[in-house]
Amino acid sequence: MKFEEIYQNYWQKVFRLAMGYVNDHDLAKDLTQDVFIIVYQKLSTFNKQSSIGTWIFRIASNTCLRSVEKRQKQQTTDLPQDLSSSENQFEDNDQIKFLYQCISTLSEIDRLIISLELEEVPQNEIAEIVGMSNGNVRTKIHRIKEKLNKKMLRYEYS
Amino acid sequence: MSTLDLKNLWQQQSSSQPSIEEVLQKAKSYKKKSLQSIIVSYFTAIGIIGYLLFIGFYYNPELVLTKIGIGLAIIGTLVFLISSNTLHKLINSIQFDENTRNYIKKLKAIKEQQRKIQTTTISSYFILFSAGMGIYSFELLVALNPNYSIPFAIGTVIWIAINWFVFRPKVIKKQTAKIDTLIQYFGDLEKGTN
Repeated sequence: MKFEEIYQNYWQKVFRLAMGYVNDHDLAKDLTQDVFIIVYQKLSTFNKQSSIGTWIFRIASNTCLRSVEKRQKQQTTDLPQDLSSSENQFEDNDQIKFLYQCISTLSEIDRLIISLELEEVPQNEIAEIVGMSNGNVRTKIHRIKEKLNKKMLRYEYS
Repeated sequence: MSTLDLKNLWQQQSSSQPSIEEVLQKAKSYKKKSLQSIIVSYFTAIGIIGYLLFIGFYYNPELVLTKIGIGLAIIGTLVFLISSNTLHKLINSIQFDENTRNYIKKLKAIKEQQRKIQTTTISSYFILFSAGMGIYSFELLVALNPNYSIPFAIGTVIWIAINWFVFRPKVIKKQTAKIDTLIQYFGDLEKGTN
């Protein structure tokens, strides 16, 4: 696969993954760019043992995990622990923002797992990306979705 | 809210996609920058060593102590060069396409090694610096009257001890504070993958 093709097919997907992880538009864009720089530099070493998507999402997940080093350099505001206070700040059409904010309150690994799930990456590939068993990933996805659904319902009725 | 709705909401998030040329340009400039910093550090070290050797051979100092001082300064420069080289190799050794669990493990191990290298470099610097000052003081001690030389010697030893036991740990703590936070962070992440 050519880099240009990968770039067109995966840019938005990687951006959403980064956005789910950091919930900061500019930082997510920076991370997405970092991911594609690595993809460009390492594409010749891609050994086709996994699908290109799995390979890119692995790079993207690992780049997100490493973003802590970037954030150490630039001060970011912490998200409120209790979301109930901030829920009313959103207008009805801000559901997307709220979803991403809810995701950003999850643990780092959970953020990656649910982002990949919502991106419609098959669960066995998610397990391959994060290095967990299929069963473990399935359970985690179930729990995270339950949590998110509860928060989204609270938002809808607020 | 159903899963489908969540997926639908999730996929509505988008951002303006930068042109591919922009990314390619950045990739090239990253590579150039990294190469430049290696070249600069090598040239600086070679320049310092060359200058010290020039003084050593051209002026040919009579005192052995001065020669030892020059030798220590060269060793100090080499320690710095070797440590920055090792750090560079270490950071580049990580595979970005590992699975997340292995990646975190390796990242943590690298940060621990980085911490060790930085600590060793700082300690080596203090050893070389103290030894240099000790040698320099020795020249003065020999020339002084014993009534003055003994308190002077005690003062020098105390000064070196303060450097080693007070300033060295402080510098190390300052230098490694960020790495320690990262090691702790990656350690917590590692637990999250179990």
